[in-house]
Amino acid sequence: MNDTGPTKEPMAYQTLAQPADVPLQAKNDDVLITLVHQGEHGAFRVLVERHQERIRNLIYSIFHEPEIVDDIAQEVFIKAYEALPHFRFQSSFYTWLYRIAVNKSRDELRKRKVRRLFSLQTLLESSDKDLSSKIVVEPRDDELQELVAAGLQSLPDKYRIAITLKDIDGLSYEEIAEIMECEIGTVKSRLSRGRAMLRKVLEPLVKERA
Amino acid sequence: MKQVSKKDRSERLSAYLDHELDEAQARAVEELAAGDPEVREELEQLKVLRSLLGSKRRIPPSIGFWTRLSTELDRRKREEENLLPFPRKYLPAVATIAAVAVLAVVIVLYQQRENVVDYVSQQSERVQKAVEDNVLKGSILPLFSNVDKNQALRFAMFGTIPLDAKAETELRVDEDSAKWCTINVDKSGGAKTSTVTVQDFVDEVQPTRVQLQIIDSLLDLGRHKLERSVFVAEDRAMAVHPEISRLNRVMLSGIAAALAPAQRVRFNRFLQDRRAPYMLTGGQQTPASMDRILRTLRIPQQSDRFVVVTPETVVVAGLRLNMDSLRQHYYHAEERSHAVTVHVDGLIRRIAERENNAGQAYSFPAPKVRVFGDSEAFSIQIGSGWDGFRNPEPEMWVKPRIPIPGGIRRRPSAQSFDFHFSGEDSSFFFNIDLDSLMIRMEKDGGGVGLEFFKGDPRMRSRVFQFEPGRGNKVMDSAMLAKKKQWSKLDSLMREMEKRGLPREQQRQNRKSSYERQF
Repeated sequence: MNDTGPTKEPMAYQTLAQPADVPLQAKNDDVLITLVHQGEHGAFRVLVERHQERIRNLIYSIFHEPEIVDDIAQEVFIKAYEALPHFRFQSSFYTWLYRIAVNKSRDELRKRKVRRLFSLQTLLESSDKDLSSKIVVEPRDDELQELVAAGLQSLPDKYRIAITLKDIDGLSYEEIAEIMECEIGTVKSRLSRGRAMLRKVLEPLVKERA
Repeated sequence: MKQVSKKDRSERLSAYLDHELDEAQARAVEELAAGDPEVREELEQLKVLRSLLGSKRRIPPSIGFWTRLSTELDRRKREEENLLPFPRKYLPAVATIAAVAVLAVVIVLYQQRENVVDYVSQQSERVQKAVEDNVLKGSILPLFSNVDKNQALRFAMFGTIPLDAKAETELRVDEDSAKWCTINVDKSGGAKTSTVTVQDFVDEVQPTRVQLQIIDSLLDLGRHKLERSVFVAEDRAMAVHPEISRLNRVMLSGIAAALAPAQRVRFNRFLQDRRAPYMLTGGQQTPASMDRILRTLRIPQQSDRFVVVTPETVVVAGLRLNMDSLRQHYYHAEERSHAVTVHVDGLIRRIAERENNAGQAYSFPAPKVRVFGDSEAFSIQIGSGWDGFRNPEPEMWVKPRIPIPGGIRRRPSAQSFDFHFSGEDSSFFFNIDLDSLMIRMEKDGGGVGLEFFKGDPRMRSRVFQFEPGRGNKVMDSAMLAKKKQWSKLDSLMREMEKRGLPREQQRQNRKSSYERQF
């Protein structure tokens, strides 16, 4: 993994020009990173607290297993802390952090050989337990959340991660390409393909609400 | 919007929804959706899907996430600090220095690769040799130390040298035949060789001062070779240099070569009177032959290959002994003499035990080495094809007085013969054992000379038995070949009876019994 990010225009250093009396919580990411470089351990705490929820939710979206989210998130921030001295401001910190999180998640997926709870085929072919049958009746709000999460989990990793980054975290194509270390055209294709697959899985629910 | 595939259409709809199309592309999608209900439906469903995903439940905030994270960071930091012998911040510098050092070593090794290969192969050979030579364990003691010139003269004359002060154990060398030389280690009491001294030799042979100086230096060279030829190790292994098996004859030839013909006759008598198993024979004395013998003795042993006898086996191994360090052993030889005797006795005992258990001697094929023994002695037979042998045969003016294999304890039974002899007075049954031949025939002066002894003078434990009607006799194979002369055995018997007289009387009669015409 190239933690320093792909070649890109360097971030503007004028962001560092902030008054010294501004509290750490008010400083932007680049200033905090510079402070960490200078040995200010408290600055890293601010960075963690600022980004931990987004990282935890990204991991949750990928795994949909709340009990492992904090462990993987902790590994992501430890990796970031170790690699931070090499951060060269060639990308935004949160994009860089997302890339670490995505790669950690991929490693974990490979390591654990996670079996998807619902394969696409199973969802399409199962009888009374399949999503389609559950969706016939208007689900409660919590059931709706579970159905969406289950549909998302049924997608292959590359589609699930792309949809999560776009539709849940609201990142741009360019940021997603940087995080997933691929071309923008690939991101576009993965999003389209993943959405088509998810629309098929959740078809009754989507049709009813359309 | 021109006709596009369904896949492209879906991608454009997806991008339109994400506001990733430029203005013209976005307008084209809107026009397409307005005119095509299917496209419009797909676009609506994608909007719903995005809405559903956007409303996806978020995971609740984690309380104490930073506390746990900072604790884990501190723990790992401590672990790393304990792992590295230097501050972590120096890790890149240390790694760089290490890499440069490794690179430098690789470059040097590459440049010196031929030397390295040679060195490695040399070390490999050394290790292999060390393994091969690891047959002598513990400290190595010279079996003979502080050999004086009297002992050297006795070794030359008799081929024996005592291993301990009481002469209870002795080493004896002999040459069985043209093919075998024998080294015997005998603890049965030894031959008790006459206490011959250099002074006795001088008194009887009467060498000139110059001759005596030559003989003196010859004995000096001989005793040094003796000291460097036999070693015993603490694990009861014995290393014998094969040259020792002929050393005495080379020394004796050298003494003979240094003498004038008249002196040589006296020296021959000197050997006979003291029952030495050798006699001087022909040969023309020339200064060149004397020089060659002295040169033979002066140069070091040609080979460092020793015959190493252990209770279990016999091996031929190279022993590169540091004589400087062994001089310390010589210095302390008196203190260690008891240990040497113990080691040799232990070796003899264990060889005997092994042979009793295994029932056969053991041998080493090339060069031919055989070892066998019993509870009293063991013999090492070395084939004359040994490459470590020097061959001073042209100067060998020495012959065994009796061509018998001294000390060979075990012979194949095929060499024993039984036969009858009927005389006028009585009938005799003979058992002739070629292993203890006592008769030697000479064809000098046209006649056949017969010389015989009562038993091998070098093997006192062997008792000659003769009694009417049944006796164990020993004869020369040449004698056996002349079967037509069996009838004359009666006179042989009578001569043997004379030999059976008490020792003093026998000595008095000795001269008259020699060279009797048969």
